[in-house]
Amino acid sequence: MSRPANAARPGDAPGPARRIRDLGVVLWPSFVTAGVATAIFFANIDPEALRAATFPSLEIGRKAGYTIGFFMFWGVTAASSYLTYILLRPANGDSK
Amino acid sequence: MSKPKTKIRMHRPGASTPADAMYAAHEKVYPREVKGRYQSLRTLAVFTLLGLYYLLPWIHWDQRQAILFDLPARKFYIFGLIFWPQDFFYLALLLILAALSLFFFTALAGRLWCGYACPQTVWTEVFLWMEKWTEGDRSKRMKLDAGPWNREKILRKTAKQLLWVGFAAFTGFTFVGYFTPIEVLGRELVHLNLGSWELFWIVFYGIATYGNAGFLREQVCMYMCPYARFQSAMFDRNTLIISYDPERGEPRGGRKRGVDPKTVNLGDCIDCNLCVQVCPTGIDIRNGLQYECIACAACIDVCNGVMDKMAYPRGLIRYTTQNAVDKIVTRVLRPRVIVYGILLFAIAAGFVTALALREPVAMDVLHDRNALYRLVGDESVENVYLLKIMNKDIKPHTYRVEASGLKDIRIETDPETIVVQPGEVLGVAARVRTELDHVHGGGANIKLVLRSVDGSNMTHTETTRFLAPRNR
Repeated sequence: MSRPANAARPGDAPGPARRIRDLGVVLWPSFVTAGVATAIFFANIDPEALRAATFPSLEIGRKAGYTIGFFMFWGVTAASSYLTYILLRPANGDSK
Repeated sequence: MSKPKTKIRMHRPGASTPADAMYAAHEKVYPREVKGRYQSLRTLAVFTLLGLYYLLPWIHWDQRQAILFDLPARKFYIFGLIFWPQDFFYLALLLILAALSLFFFTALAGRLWCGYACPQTVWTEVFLWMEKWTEGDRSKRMKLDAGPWNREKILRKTAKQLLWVGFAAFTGFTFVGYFTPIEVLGRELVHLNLGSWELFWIVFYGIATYGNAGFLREQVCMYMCPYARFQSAMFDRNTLIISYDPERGEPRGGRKRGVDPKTVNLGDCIDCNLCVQVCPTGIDIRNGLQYECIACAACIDVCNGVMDKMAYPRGLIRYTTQNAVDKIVTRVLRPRVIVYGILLFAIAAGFVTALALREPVAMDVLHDRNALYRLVGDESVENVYLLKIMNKDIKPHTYRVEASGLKDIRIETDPETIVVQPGEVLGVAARVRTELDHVHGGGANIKLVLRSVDGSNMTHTETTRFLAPRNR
C-alpha cells in the first residue's frame, strides 16, 4: 500500500459506520498482539508469583490475574495503535 | 521486488478513485445464495471445522477432558500429553509452523485460508444460513429491510436475532469450555452459579462472534485483517487466483438462451450480474483481481451454473493463474514455493521429533539457601538440595536419585524411592555427602541422576555445584 490505509481523505463518508471501522482498525490488531504477548508473558511468569511479589495483600486468583494481564496488554497495544492512527492522519487538517 | 508483481487493481463501483474506495459509504452487502462444487466444499469445511470446535471439549480421555487448557493449574492437556509452562517451546514451534503454512499455501494457491478456513468466513457462513432461514433469500431480505416495520418484519428479525444471540452465546460457552472443564461449566450454567470470570469471557467471546459474523462480516476482511493486506507479498504470477476470462467474456451483453455468441458479436458473458450478487464482499470479479476478493469461489459456482444453462463451456470465471490468463506457462515449482516448502517440512519434522523425544520427567535442583555446606564430624561435608521432580507423564512413576562426580559421594533422599503422581511437582530434600579430602578449591560440579525404578526406564540428569570449605 503506497499510502496509509486508515488516513482520512476528502470524500470520506463521515458518520458512525466510518467510526466503527476506525475503531476496528485500532482495536483488532492490538487485540491480536496483546493475546500473543499475554501467552508469552504468562508462560514464563505465574500470576500467583507475580501477585506475591507485587500486591501480596490483595486476593487475585490466577484466572483474575490472566484476565487483568490480558487487558493491561490490550490497553497498552491499543494506545499504541491509536497513536499510530492519529499520526498517520494528515497533519494539515484538510480532512476536517 | 524485482519480479513482476501481480497487479492488484482496486476498484469499486461508485468510487471516483481507487483510494476513495477505502472509506466510500458502505452499502450493506446481501450475498445471494449459491450452489455448486466450491460451495459444497465450503459447507464441508464449515461442518468439519465448527464440528471440531463445538465437539472437542466434550471428548474424554482417561477420565478427564481430552483437550483442556487448564490455566488456573498452568497445565495444558492434549489427549495423552500434558504440557507445562516449561514446554512453551512447542507452542512457539507450532506458531511458526502455522505462519509458514500460511505463507506456503498462499504462494501456491492464494487465499485458500480466507475462502474456506478462516473463522471469520466459517462463522459468517453459519450466520448467513440463519439469516436465510428466518428472513428468506436475497431478494426477500432486501425487500424486508426496505419495507416498513410490520408484524412480519418484527417476527422475522426477532427470530434471526434469537438464533444469532443463542448461537453466539453457545460459541462463547464452548470457548470457555476449553479452559474450564465444560461439563462443570454446563452444570454451573444450569444452576446459574457461573464464576464471574467464566461469565465475563463467555459474554466477551459471544459478543465478538456476534459482532464479527453477524454485523461486521466482510468489513473485517476489508478493513481489519492484516493478512488481507500483506498476502499480496506472497503472490506471484503463478499463484492460483480466481479470475474472469475477459478475452472469452468480452464484449459482454444480454442475449437469448442458446444463441451462439459469435453470431451476435458478443463474448460469453451474458452480463447477468449474478457473480456480483453472490459475492460476500460485494465486488465485481470482472474488474480483475482485487484485494477485497477472499477467494470464496462463489462467483465460479454461480457462473458455471449460468454457462450450463446457456450451453456454453464452464470456466468463464475459474481458478487460474495470472500467467495462464496471459497465455504463459504456469510454473508450480518455483524458488519461493520450494523455499517455503523446505522450511515447512524441516520445522514440521523437528516439531514431531521434539515431541516424540520429549522427556516425560523433569527435575530442578535448588541448593539450600540457608547453609552453603555443613560439616559432619571432622571428615565429611554435606550439602542439602531441594529437588523439584515433575512427572509430565499420564501415569504415576517411582524414581530414585543417584549422585556422581566426586569420590565416595552418597545421596540420601526422604523418602528413598519417590512416587510422583501424573502432573505432580514434588519437592524432595536431598542430602549429599562426601569426605572433605575429596573436594578441592571450595567446590566441584556433581551430577544428580533421577532414574525411574518402575521399569519405565527414564532418566534425567542435572549438573549442580557441591560446595565445601575452601581452606583445606
